[in-house]
Amino acid sequence: MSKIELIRDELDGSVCRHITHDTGLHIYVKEMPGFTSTHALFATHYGSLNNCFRVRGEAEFSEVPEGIAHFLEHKLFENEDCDAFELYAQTGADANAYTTFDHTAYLFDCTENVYDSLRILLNTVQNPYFTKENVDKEMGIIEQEIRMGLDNVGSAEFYGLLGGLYHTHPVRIQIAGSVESIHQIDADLLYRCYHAFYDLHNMALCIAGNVETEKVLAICDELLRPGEDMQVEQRFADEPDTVAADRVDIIRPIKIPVFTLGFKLPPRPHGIEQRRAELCARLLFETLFNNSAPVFNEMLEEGLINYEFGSDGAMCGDGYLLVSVSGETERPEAVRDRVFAEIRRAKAEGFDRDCFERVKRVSYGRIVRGLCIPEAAASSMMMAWMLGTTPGDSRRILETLTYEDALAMLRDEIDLDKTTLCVVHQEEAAHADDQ
Amino acid sequence: MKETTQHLGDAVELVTIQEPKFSTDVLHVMLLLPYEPEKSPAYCLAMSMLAQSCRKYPNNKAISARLDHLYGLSIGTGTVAYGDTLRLTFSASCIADRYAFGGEALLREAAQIAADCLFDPNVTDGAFDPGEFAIQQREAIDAIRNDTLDLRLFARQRFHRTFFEGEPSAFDTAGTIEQVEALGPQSVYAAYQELLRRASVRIYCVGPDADAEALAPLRDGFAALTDRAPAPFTLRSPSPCKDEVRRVTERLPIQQSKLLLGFKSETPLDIVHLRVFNALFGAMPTSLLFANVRERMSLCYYCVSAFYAEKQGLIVDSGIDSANAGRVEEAVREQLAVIAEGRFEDAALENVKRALTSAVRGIGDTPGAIVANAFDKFRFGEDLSPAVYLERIAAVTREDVMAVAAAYRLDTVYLLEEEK
Repeated sequence: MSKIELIRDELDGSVCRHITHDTGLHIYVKEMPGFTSTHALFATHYGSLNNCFRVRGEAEFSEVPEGIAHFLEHKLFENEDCDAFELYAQTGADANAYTTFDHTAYLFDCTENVYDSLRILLNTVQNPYFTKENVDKEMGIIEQEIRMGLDNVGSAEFYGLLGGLYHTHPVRIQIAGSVESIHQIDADLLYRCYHAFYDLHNMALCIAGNVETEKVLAICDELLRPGEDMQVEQRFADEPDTVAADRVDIIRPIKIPVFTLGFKLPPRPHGIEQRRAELCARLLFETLFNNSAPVFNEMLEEGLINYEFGSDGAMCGDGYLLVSVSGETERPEAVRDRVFAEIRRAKAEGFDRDCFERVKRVSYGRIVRGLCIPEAAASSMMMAWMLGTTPGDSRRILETLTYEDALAMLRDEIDLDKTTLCVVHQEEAAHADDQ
Repeated sequence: MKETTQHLGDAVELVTIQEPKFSTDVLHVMLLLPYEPEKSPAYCLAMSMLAQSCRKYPNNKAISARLDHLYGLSIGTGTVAYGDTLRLTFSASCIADRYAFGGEALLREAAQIAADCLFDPNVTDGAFDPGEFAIQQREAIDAIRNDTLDLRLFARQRFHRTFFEGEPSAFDTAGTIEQVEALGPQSVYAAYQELLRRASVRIYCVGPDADAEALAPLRDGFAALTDRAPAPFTLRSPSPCKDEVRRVTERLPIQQSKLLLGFKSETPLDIVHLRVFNALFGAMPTSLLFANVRERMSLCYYCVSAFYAEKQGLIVDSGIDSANAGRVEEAVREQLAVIAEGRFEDAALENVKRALTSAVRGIGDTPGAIVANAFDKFRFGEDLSPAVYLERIAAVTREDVMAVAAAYRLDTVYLLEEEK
């Protein structure tokens, strides 16, 4: 018998139902009266980080090629007799999928035939079909996706930063892998990863919008296939408490250098502490460097930065926590020095308390903006499942975060010796910075 | 959903659509006038000035602090050319009043800030504040200089130079570095005044708090303008098809080449027929381009089509290995021929109609889609309200989409190639 938990959001009175299905799948449903659209996500707690693992009964951990979670995502759109897009075409749903560092999700949006689309979603993800021929065919497509990513300046900057901050943690690896690594992938490896991670105990289904819980559950009861709990375990290499490089240079054909300055913080254990640390770091950096901050406007008036400058927020997951600022400038090292100077000053003197409270109001506004959007509601439920928290916890954490919390993080955890400056620039400008 | 339309003055119209289910209100003030590439950079810069300061909040720091206090009320500007018409938009978005801790009337605040920015800018002696102007001018120049940050957009802009040669659409609305450098606080202020005088104005407001009273500051601001002389503009400006296909190749040190194919029609095309055709051809994962050029032939990660309704143009945009450029071009032309000759299954057409139907039914679920749909009615001069739109999609036949495909001729092939 599935267990049902009602989770009420006191902000708008909406209710989310969390069902722990007999198969081990976590199901979240938010019925949104008045909406025509439905957004559904079927996700596994498996992303690009999970490259070294073992399942129940295995003594040894084994490594798989980089990019295999993403490759698997592509291939699960293809069943034995047709591809998933052809099936969704018969319901009118708009389907897609994506892979992140720590999860892979298959999704659809629709305004009609929601239950037929749900059947397609559940059937597709539960019916892998990998052959040498269809794996080889996908190589060319993914290779072009990787090459497009290599040309993407934002992506180059992002992975350049992660490669500078982390020595061994797999967050430094591109989600899609490399052209070389994907050529090590074959059907057998895909099946091995599929069976390890696409275990319903390791998955969640999140649906929000014009949907009825009972009908969702009836389809789940019919289509979900019970399987053994694989109890997959990950292993990450020990990550030193230093950065791998304090400066990373990347050459791309752009006229004005772009940069990201990242700060490596101590990671948090899996769970709500990760969310709390991420929110705290974001509030801190937005307070110090947002558009109303003194240092932002000084640098703007001096012509050192333009409006592209700002905090990128924080990223937190198993084994990593970082916060960063980024922007465009001819003089990235000068910007870094000013950012460092502002951090030193704030560590000693504190920072603008009113600004901190304003930034909290902005964060509250962001949460409110997502309340009445089915896609945002489904994503929010999925993120809560990933961290083992409850939908709505972000707002509750935000309410409790104080100026003192942010100041303590600044003083205790922001270490100017644990930073990476990643600069993307044209070749000829490589050594012209700030001399 | 409650929709009202009000005339606020000479070529100034306000459309409010009240929808209680949303948690946000959005406001768009759209200024429409003929697209004159020599004037556009000054107009764009004027709009940027308006979104960064005003007399009441004379610099970025002051206005940002106010916006943050209002739960991250956001303002911004945007520019787009619809054929030979330029649309400049001042936008604001806020959370719904019911979520404000202190019971603030946030949409009213948004309208007041929009009015402050649009009608009472930070001006002294007939010129924008020189310090603020210098920042915005540099911002505009940086954006033009760093045009290769987004290679897909860069390729699209370079493609336009040839595809629309001799027409305003050949030029980017932001202009060139030289054009922006030649501007000053006075000339941009003059451009701002000209905008308020010459532009036709459409204001759209959608959300739970959207009513005319909340927007009184904007209504009063437009009512106070005395020397309005709206310039006529056209939303139909077909681009002539070249006698011979023009081929342009440029090179950059990049990993993936961009191949853009431009087609034109010399006959006007029904907007709904066009949208159904585009969905069948290349706009969706179920389209022929995706199914064949990507999935069957593995030639690209993306290969998508889009149309320029006002110009009767069609573009296919793909990211490829340049060694395959010839094969991709051939495959794209073949899929166009497949539609023109009716070599597709009825089920394929029904599928894309179903997908479009689903999308249209969802228009009422986001403020942005509601605004886009409301503006479409004006843009195309037809009733495209969701109910009518659904009927028109249902009525599209295979002959209709075959006629659209048959009308297109290849005009321009642009390749941005990796340097060897």
